[in-house]
Order: sequence, then structure tokens, then C-alpha cells
Amino acid sequence: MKLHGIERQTLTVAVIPILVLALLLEGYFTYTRFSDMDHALFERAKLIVRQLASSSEYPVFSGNQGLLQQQVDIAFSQQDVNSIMVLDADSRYLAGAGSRPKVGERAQFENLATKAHDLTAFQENSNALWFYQPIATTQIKLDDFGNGDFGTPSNKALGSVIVEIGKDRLNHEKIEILGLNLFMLLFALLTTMLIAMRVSRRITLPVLAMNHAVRRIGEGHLDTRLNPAKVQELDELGSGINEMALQLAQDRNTLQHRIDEATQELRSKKEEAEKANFDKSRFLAAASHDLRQPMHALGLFVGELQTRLDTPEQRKIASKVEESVEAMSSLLDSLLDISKLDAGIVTPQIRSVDVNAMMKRLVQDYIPVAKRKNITLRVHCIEAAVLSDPVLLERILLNLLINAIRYTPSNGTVLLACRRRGDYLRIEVRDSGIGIPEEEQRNIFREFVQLANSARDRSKGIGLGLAIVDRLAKLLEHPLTLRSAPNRGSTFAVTIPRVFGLDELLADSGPGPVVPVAQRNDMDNLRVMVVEDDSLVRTSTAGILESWGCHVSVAENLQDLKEKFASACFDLVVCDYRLPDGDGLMLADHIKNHCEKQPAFILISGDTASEVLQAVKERGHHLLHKPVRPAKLRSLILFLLKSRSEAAAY
Amino acid sequence: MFVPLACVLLCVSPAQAYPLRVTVVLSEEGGAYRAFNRELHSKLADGDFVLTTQTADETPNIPDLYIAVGMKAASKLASSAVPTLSVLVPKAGYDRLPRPDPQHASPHSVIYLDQPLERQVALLLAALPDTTQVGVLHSVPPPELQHVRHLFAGRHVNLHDRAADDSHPLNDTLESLLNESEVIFALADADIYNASTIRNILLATYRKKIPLVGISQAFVKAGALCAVFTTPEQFAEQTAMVTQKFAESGKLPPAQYPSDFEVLVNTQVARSLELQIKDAGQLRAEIRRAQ
Repeated sequence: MKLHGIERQTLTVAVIPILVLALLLEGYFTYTRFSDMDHALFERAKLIVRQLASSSEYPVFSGNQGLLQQQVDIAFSQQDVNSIMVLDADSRYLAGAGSRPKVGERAQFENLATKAHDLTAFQENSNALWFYQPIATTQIKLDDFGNGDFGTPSNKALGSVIVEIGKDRLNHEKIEILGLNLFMLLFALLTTMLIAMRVSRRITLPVLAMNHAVRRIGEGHLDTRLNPAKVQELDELGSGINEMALQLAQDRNTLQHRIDEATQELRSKKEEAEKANFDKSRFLAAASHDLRQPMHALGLFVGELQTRLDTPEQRKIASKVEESVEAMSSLLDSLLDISKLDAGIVTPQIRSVDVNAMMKRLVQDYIPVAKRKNITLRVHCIEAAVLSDPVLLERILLNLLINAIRYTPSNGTVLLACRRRGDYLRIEVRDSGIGIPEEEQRNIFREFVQLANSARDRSKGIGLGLAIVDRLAKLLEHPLTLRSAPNRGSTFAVTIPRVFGLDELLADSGPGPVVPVAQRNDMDNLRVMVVEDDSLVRTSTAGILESWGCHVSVAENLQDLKEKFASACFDLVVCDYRLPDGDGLMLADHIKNHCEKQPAFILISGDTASEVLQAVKERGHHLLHKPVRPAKLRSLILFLLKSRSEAAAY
Repeated sequence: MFVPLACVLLCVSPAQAYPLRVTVVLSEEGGAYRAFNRELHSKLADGDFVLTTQTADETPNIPDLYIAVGMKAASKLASSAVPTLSVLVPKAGYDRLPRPDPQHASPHSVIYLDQPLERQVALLLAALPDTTQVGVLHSVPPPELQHVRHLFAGRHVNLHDRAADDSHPLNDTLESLLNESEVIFALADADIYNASTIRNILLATYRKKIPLVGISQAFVKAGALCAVFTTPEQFAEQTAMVTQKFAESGKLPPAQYPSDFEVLVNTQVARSLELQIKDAGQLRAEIRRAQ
């Protein structure tokens, strides 16, 4: 817009003075020209009328009509003469040409004539001029001695001449002159405008180019360059812009180079970090596998040992050993869970969950633990169903409950409660424990962070519980909140979408309460095949299964199984995932191929590699991670048997 | 004839006891009057005359003799008790002036401006000797018409006269006269011949190829063929003579026509009208002889 302004202003500056000057000059010259033309016509008309009056003198005197008409015709032949009339002294018509004026007008002319000084009178309008001239006789002095006053009669007019001069030609010429003048004015204006525009273009075009160039530079096209302008100042400005662009380009290149270097550095750092993380995961996987083997065997051995001890003293010791094994197992479990969650292979199985039942079961399970610490554990819940993964949700609540019991001193209270919040259900785990300072509230969800356990008392856990809760809540998209203050207790809460209607009725109440192994001996005569390369684990697994009443067959590896039990079929196969000559999946495939009745498969792995978990899941087998606690193994076996019998019933 | 006689008289007569006081009253200053006055002064330069010049507008002193020059001066001094000589006055005008009371009549005389009719007739006949028909145009029949007719008749020339008045327009009268005449003989009639009419009259005559014989130098200049006239110097000389006579005799002569004259011919008009005409000198000599 502003650039238009420059052009317009240049035009204005150039055109207005020219216009004013041209108008003044045109006006002045046109006016003087018109005046001259008017004057010339007037004088010519006067001349014609006087000449006619003079030449009519004798014809009028002599009454020679022919001669008079001749004189009239001569006058009439002159340009612009519209009409002529010659009258005698008594205003009688003598001769004429053209149209005759009316009698009234004649009288008017004669009146005018008497007033005129030089006897020539005229009238005019826009179209014509009328001249009246009396025909006076030519005076020739006859008296040599000045006796003029003697006997000389007054000089009486012989008649009069009226001539009408048309202004048509004059007006036409005036219009032509006016037209020509206007044309010249227009021409001068146009020429001026053209020159002004040309001159202003010399400014506006470079300015526009600069505008464009600056915009392009602004958009990042730093290779933009301006051509030299014809105007010195603009040329300097243009080269300034060019230099600026050059400088910017150089600066950008330098900056880009630095950024590239920094990026490269960051990339290598990231790769290092990723490698380190990968190495850590590998280390963790390897370590947990290697740890699991003996832990697994140890747990199974202790489980078997308890069934065989006789004296209470011995059982007490065995019980302590079992507790220790339990602690170690849960530590390993937690590490494993974290690595599973970090591997991203846990897929939530979202369905309708009966929260009330789940909470009551949890509380029921932990009442003994709470009692030992003299903590009041309460549950307050409503009948409701939520949309979640029952296993993972239970794990969240379990971890929170364990955490609350752990950090609540004796005589404290832990409350598990749920409340409706519109379409959501808010489940709270409230304790009257030591509380968490605000500045620590974010840290507690990190791995191995434990408040008030600087001595790393293992009985207080290892600090993975909340880290797992946090990961699970994020995975399930259940917002997790914490409200706490030191010595005022803590409240952890998860918010879960509710389910209404039919789904509520069909809600999964999760696995039923764990039944003591001794109470249900459904495993009697169950044919179990144990495949394990590690003899210690193989022996311990076979031992505990036999103690539960199962008929156990063992094989070292796939080859051993094929050789010894080529045609045998089993109810259950417990198999180490990693075998010297294959893996658990190959073994499962082998057994499936020759057995009519498919056995249940429990694969036991010390490996936390995500692909293993994925592969097992896809086949529909069950995977347990070493070390497997006897109770857990028993629960799973019983669960599988129950599922089977239900499937058979249908 | 007069001049040598006057000279003789002047020479022989004894000088008067006192110089004659003469007051020249001019109608107007300048022009012909001045020329006349100058000439008169030179003629009367000797000690016998005391000349005073006045214009007609001034209060005249009382001299022994007034010389009234021109019609205006003559009119003013018409009733003067002092002897008055009027000069350069048309006859028609002088005749119309009031006559002074005869009982207290002091001598009044005049030298007419007009030429005597005989001289004019002589000019016409000398210039156009073959003329047989002469036309005269007048407003009212002039008293001298019969005399003129008589003069022409003596030379076997017919005179046609026409009167132009309100009922007879000048042009028509002239036209009819021109049809009968071979030459127009102008008379001093201001109703006919005046500054306004002379041009058209002359134009009318030219168209008929008929010459007009004028009565003054101005007529010839205006386009008349020829005229006899007297110059101011000739008038002055004649006046000087009369004055000297008055000085000697105390009497003024009767009214008289100018004695000397000149002839003027418009040769251009003569050529245009294809007239063979004698030159002015020959004509003057012929007129003199005729008189």
C-alpha cells in the first residue's frame, strides 16, 4: 500500500503544478483568443456594414435598386453575413439579402442608432450580431472661405443598413480551439503522468524488489540478491540488503554447523545411553535368569521340606526359610514386572470388573499381615463394576495396600474405599502413616526410592511397588493421585471408568480366594511331565508335585522326552522354556502332535525377554517366571484343571 | 483696367492729413482669411493706413473704415454706422443681410465672393464651345436665371432649368435634367449644391457622361470639370484699391464682383469624360477677351 503511495505522491507532485499551470495558461490564452476572435468579428462586421452603408449612398440617393442590390450582394457574399437589409430614410425596404428582420426589430435598431455615438449600433446574442448603420452622405466641403453656416441644410441620412452577422463559424472555431486546447492539455497531462510514472517506477520498482527480497530473506531464502538499482540511494540500500543477506547466510551456516555438531554429539550420547540401557536390560535379564534357577529350586525344595518335617521346631525353622525365600521371590518378581512393563509387552485385557469383590478379597488376604503389625485394615466399598484389566488393577491395589501397611506404624489404620465420581469410580487407599513431604511426592514413583528406609531394610520392600503402580496406572489410563503430608498420612487414589447395565452383572470377580493346598487334593493321580535340563530344578519340581499327589515323569530335554515317552500322554506338562535342544514351544508342538487329549502347558522361564513372553502368549500357554513359588504353581495348576473341567462340561 | 488707374490716382493724389484707420474684421482666423489679411496688409503698408485686425467675436473699435471679411463679419457689421466694406461674401448671403437705416446710412459696399454670371457663361462656352444644351438646377428659380438664359441664348445655347424641392426629389430632377442637357451649369444655390449633395450630383452626372461647370475652386476639387474663381490675394488687391479710393474720396464704390480671376480645370475629370479641353491659361485668356 505504501509503495502505491510513493507512485501516487510522485504523480501528484508532478501533475498538479502542470495541471494548474496548464489550466491557467490555457484559460488565459483561450480567453484572449476568444476575445480577439470576438473583436475581429466585431470589427469586420463593423467594416462590412460601414462599407455597405458607404457604397449604398449613391444607389440609395439615385434610387438605383439594381446597383443597390449589387452592393448588397457583394456585402452578402462576405463570410458570416447572415442577412442584409437596406432601408430608405422613411424605413422603407429598399434591398436586402438573407432573412428579413421583423418590423419591430427594425424600430429597435433605429432607436439604438440614435443613441450610438458613431452612428453604428449593434445588438448581439450568442448566435448573431446585428449592426445598424445609417447611410450618411459623404461630405465634400464646397465653401472655400468658411461660410459653411450659410444656407447649408442639415445632413440627413439617406437611409440605413442592417446587417446580421452569424456567429456560427465563430462558435464552431471556438469549440475547435477549445477542443484542441483540451486535447493539448490532456496530452500535456498524460505526457507528464507518463514521465512521472516512469520516474516513480525507477523508485517504486526497486523498492518493491527490496520488499520482496526482504520478505524472502525473512522466509529464510538467504541466497536472495538484489540487482543494482538506477537510483543511487536505492542502489546503496540494495547492496546493504545484499550484504545483510550474505552475513545472515554466513551466520546461519555457522549456526547450522554448530547445531549439526551438537546434534551429532547428542545422537552419539543417546546411542550410548540406549546401549547402556540395553546392556542393563540384558544384564538384568541374564542376572534374573541365573538367580531364578536356584531360587526356583530352593522354593520348591522348601515347599517339599515343610510337608516332610515332623517337629514344630523344625517346621518353625523351615517356615523362616520359606519367608526368606518368599521375600527374595517377591523381589525378583518385582524386578521382573518392572522389566516387563518397561519392555511394553503387557497388553491390558480390558473388561468389566467387580470392584467390590476384588477389594474384599484383597483386604481379606492382608488382614493377617495387618494384624501382625497391629494395624486396623478396613474396607468400605459400594457395589460397582469398572472397565479395566482385573489382573493389573488388582496388582495396583495390592501394591498400594502393601505399601500402606508397610508405612503405617502400629495402632494405625489403613482404609480401602471407593466412591462414585460421576461416570467414574475413585478407589482410595488411605493410611495414617508417616506421610510424604510435598517435595518427595514426585520421587516416590521412581524405582528404588524409599522414604524412611535409609538403612535399606529389606523387610520394607525394595522400592519398586509404587514404580509398578505408576506404570500400570499409565498403561490402563487410570489417573493416579496422591494427597499427603508428613505425619498426616497418605491417600493414593485411582480413577476408573464405571460400567453400567448388563456388563455390571457379568463383571469378573477375578480369581477366587486362594484355597490352602491341603484342602483340595484334586491333583491326585494327575499325570504330570516335568522337562527341565537343570537337575536341581527338575528334582525339586518333581518333588513338590509328587508331594501334592501327582504322578510325575521327568525328562532332561526334548530328545530325552522323545526317547523315553514317545507315545505317553499327560494331563499337565511343566517345562522349562529354554532347553538345550530347543524350547518349550517346540516341545508343546511335539506333544500336541501325538496326543489326542491335549495336556495343559506351563512354561517356566528365567528369561524376561519380551519376545519370549509374546510368543508364549500367542500360543495360549501359561508362562511362569522363575523362581516359581510353590503356592503360585499350585494355584495355576488348580486354575487350569478347573478351566479344563468347565470346558469339558460344556 | 482698375489697377493702373488706381496706381495713377494714388501716385498723384496728395497725402491725407492723417492716416486712415482701417479695422479688418475676420470672420475666422486662418485659412483663406489669413492669406487675404496678409496680402491686404502688404498692399496697404505705407504710412497712409493704420490697419487693425480683429476677429468677428471681438468687440470692434471704431475706425474710419471697416473691412468685414467673410459672411460672419459682414453679418455683424451689417448695421455699422462706420463705413464698411464687406469682402468674400456670397451675393445671396449679402442680399439677405438687413439694410441699415437709410437716414443714418453710412456707406456700405461689398466685393462679392461670387463670380459674375457673364464670366461663368464665358468659361462654359470657352471650355465646351460645341455645347448647345445647358442644364441648370435650382431650388427656387433665381432672379438671375433670365439673365443667364439670355446670355446663353446669345450664343445659340438652350438653357433647361429644373427646380428640385420637397415634391421633386433632387435625384429625379437631376435625372430628367441630365437627359436634356449636355452640360450642367451650376449656380450658387446652397439647397442644391452643398457638402452632402455634391458627391451624388457629380456621380449622377458622371454616369451620364455629362460634365458640370462649377462655381468655385472647391467644385473643381470635388469633381466639377472647371470653374472660375478669385484667389484671396486677388481679393486683397481689389480691396486695397477700394480702400485707397475711399481714403482719397471718402466714398465707397457700389457693390462689385471680383475683378481678377483664375480658371481651374480638373483634367482628370476631363479625361474620364473624354473631353478635349483647353488648359486653364488659354481659357482665362479667352474669358478675358470675351469680357
